[in-house]
Amino acid sequence: MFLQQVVNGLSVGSVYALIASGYSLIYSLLGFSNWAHGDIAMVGAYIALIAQTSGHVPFWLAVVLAIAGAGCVSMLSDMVAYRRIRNNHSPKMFLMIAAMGLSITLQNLIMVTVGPRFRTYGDVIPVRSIRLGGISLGVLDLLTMGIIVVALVALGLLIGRTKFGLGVRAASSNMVTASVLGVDVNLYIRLVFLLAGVFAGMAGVLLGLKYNIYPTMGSIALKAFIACVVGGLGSVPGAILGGVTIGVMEALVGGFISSGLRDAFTFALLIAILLVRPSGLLGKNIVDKA
Amino acid sequence: MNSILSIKGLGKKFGGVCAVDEFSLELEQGTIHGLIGPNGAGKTTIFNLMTGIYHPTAGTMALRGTNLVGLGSYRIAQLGIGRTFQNIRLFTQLSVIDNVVMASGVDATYGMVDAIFKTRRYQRDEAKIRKRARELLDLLGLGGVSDERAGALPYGSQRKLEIARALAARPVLLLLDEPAAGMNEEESMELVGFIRDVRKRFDLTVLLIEHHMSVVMEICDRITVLDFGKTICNGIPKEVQANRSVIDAYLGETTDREN
Amino acid sequence: MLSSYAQGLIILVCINVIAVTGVSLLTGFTGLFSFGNAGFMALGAYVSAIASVELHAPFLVSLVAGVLVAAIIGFGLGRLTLGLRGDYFLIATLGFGQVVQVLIEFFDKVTGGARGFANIPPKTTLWIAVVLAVGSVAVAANLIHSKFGRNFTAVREQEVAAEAVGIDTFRFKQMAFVLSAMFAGFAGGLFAHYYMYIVPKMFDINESALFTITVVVGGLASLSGSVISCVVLTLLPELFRSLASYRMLFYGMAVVAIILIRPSGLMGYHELSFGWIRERMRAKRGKTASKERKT
Repeated sequence: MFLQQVVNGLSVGSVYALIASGYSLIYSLLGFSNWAHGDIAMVGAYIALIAQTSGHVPFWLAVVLAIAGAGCVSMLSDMVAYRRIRNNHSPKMFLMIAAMGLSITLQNLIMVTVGPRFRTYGDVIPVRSIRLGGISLGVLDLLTMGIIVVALVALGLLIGRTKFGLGVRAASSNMVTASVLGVDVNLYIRLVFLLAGVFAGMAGVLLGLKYNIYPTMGSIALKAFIACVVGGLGSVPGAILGGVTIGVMEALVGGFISSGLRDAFTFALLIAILLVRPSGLLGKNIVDKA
Repeated sequence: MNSILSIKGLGKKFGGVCAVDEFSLELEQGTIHGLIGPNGAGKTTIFNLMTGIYHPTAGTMALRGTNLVGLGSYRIAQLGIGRTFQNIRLFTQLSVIDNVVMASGVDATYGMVDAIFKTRRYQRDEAKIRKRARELLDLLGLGGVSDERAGALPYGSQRKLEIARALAARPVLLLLDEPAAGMNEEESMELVGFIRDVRKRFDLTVLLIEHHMSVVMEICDRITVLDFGKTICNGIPKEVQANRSVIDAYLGETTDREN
Repeated sequence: MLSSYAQGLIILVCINVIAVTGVSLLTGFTGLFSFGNAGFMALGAYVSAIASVELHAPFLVSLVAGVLVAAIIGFGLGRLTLGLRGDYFLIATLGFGQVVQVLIEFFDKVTGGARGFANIPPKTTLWIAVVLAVGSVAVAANLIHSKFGRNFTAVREQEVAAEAVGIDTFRFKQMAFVLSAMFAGFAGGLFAHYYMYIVPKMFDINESALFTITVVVGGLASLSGSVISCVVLTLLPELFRSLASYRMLFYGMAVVAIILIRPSGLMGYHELSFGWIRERMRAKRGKTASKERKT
């Protein structure tokens, strides 16, 4: 029973981790909470739905379109809104407010074009489970975890081993220095938004497969934000750690205590961790220098 | 001898690096004391330790017998240590006079109810605060720009405004971190006269960090020289000027820099 | 006499103005961004509603009870979280807002849970709402023009310098936070006694986000900006009611557009006053005059 809940938690937690890693990447570069990140995932889920139902394309192609589409919407959001605010040298919080506006816009855009109804992709993935030493594993859960592990490892390699990753790391440690050293910061920011959007799109489709597709499904990103804070804002490994921790804890609280109190425990965990480590599990402590 | 500040064996380590080591200082009431040394010698770190921004890893500090170690910055300021910052920290969005008024918390004795109902007590305190702020600005020659935005002032005026703001909090000990930075010779000498003037008028003790040697030698009663966190000399200006290790550490570095 | 629809709108504007005034103190003046204010509003609403319905307390007593509970919880939460840096604090308050909803739903024997709490006596009349809103704004305005407002501003502008002149920044963050919780709790109590029926969903994270958006759109460091923005943003969706679902789409786009076009908000760093209007007009006249001179 306990192990079963842990496995369930890992499945949900991996989705949190996928959203949180994109959110964290953007945070590490720009230092703002991208409030619309969850809605990008929602847009991805809807693109797949529309491609599948109206476009009649095979589901794998719908998924590819969803991922590409979410990446593009994410990148566009930077080009249309955030870049101008950055260039204005407005406070970082203004980026967040713009993201909130964007979030409302995207949700209602879907609401008026597709409608507020709950939708599903139908039986694309067989609802079967594999029994393994007393634990039952859903095919979908296994697939979800597998895809996400591959995606996150790929992200790790991309950031850690490639020239692109080096540029991102340079830009996130100091944007001015990076641009002096010849890194095209705006290009990197755009690419990071693209990458974060791709991950969000993936998460959106996976969520749509597991639950439902509806205009406010992006609010699951709140959990991802909390995961980022628990792990340490701006740290991608922290985001993954935080996501998995919260997923597992939710499953355990839901399974053994009360599903109604799940969020209360998440919050208690958040506060407890911040009291001990004010910058999250893997975050750096920054001291304001006089 | 009437000591106002007493620091003994002060130390601060960042990670494994010793920024300040075994720093001791006795300040006599009413004196102007210089703190000099090459860049990175730990001067500003000492100011930050004295004002509670950093907490020391060793040693004791006391202002007129009151322990300062472990207190919050605001508490130390309330006990009577005022300061300016090397990299100016004004309230840039606010007007010049508001910068000074901001620091007048000691003169506002009214409570929240007084503020909500604008009682006589509130009006009396506020009038007094405004009047004093204008006086301080006049004293520093900033009376004409009191409604300008602080961030829009030229560099030299911003440094003066920081001094005015520090004085508004009624300190007994004033820490000035490179007050003459960015000033030419003439302005520096004007500043010297001004510092002497405020010391007398407000019965202050002054501790200052400064790179302009002409200012330091002119104004300071005593000087402490630091290098790599260690005190290498402590004495009156003449003694310091003649000290061999000071010349090696400090002046040597300056000539290197100029070459 | 006003139609009941118009009266309802005015009452709604007044309630929002009270809540936004608190957020203005916290965000506009102290520089703290919080997503917990709808949570405090929920506390005020439920406490006052339960006091009225279950304990038959007089309206005023119920309201005060709601405000007090919001203040006490606000004090505790602030104590725990105000030491955190910007976004960490934000997410902590966001989590708080969620928890309030979860707990209200969980303790459904007392609160009615997700089905809601009904039969609250309709005590918030037009006049009560207007008088209390004006009073709240006046209290906030007077606080801003005192050492309290100055210390809030000092925290927002430059914490290190504020401490260096003897301002206990933590204490004033705490004060601003508790004040904003009290305003929110007050607004919540009035809200409950206007709608007569409350559900946890009314006080979700989106509600908190709307308060913050309102203050930023109105302009930081401007109470009058917050109030104007609140009136406009509350009425705007109502005016476009005929466009039904499109109104929130426009709302979202308008928020993005305002941040892009007028980054300092409607009234950033200025208060609406005769002096300010005169200055603006003079500046405008000066500009046209210099243009004329050029041509």
